[in-house]
Amino acid sequence: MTTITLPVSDGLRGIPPVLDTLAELCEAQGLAPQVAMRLTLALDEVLTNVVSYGFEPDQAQDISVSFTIEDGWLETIVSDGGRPFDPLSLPPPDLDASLDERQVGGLGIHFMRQLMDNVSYQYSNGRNILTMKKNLVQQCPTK
Amino acid sequence: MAINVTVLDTHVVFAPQGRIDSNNAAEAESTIIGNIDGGAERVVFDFGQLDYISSAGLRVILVAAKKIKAKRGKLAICSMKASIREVFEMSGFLSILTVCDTPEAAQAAVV
Repeated sequence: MTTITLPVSDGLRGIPPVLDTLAELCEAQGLAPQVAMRLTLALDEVLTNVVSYGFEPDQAQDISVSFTIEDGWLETIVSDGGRPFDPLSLPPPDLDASLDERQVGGLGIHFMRQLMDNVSYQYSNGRNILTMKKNLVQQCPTK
Repeated sequence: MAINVTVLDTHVVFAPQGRIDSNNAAEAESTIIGNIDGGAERVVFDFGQLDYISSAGLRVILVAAKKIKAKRGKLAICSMKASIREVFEMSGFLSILTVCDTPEAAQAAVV
């Protein structure tokens, strides 16, 4: 079992380095680039939401991400000390809406739920903890 | 990310390179929406050099599509890589936008 934990600092600018670490992990696991893209997109969407909306404007952004690979699964945990918020409570976007009716926004969490196999949320000790699991063995590169 | 903007007599081509994500979506929006608000009505997005797009980038495309439709213009997207197409498919955008395989087909769709 390998676990890597790293902070997300400096607002949105802190996201790409964390995604790079995940991409390197994926490459080390021999995953196809398209599989790595799905995993990094899911994390990108979660982190973008937390950085953009998770904290009061004057609040220090305390966010960390950990990756654990065990038994063919990747577990990604995003933990933050921001406002209590369960992203899984968001309603899914209306994907059948016409161009005129289509709402701007709401897609990021939808992507994350589509791209991960198992997602859970808890609020514990003053922190939002989002746990995302993905089976790496059953990944077909072309879906 | 850089966006090549080619203004032709008949239409405008936006060709973003690399990534469009939450770090540069505002910059992409400024370039693209700026051109559309400045008069562009027939627009092609050439995604041949686009490697990654997140929902922050899709938001810009949706805003552009709504603005173009509001002024009865035309918009087409071409040359999507498989990974980009997968994101568009998940978003439901494939059914509300015109997506072509080649730049030539996209040009024919808007001119």
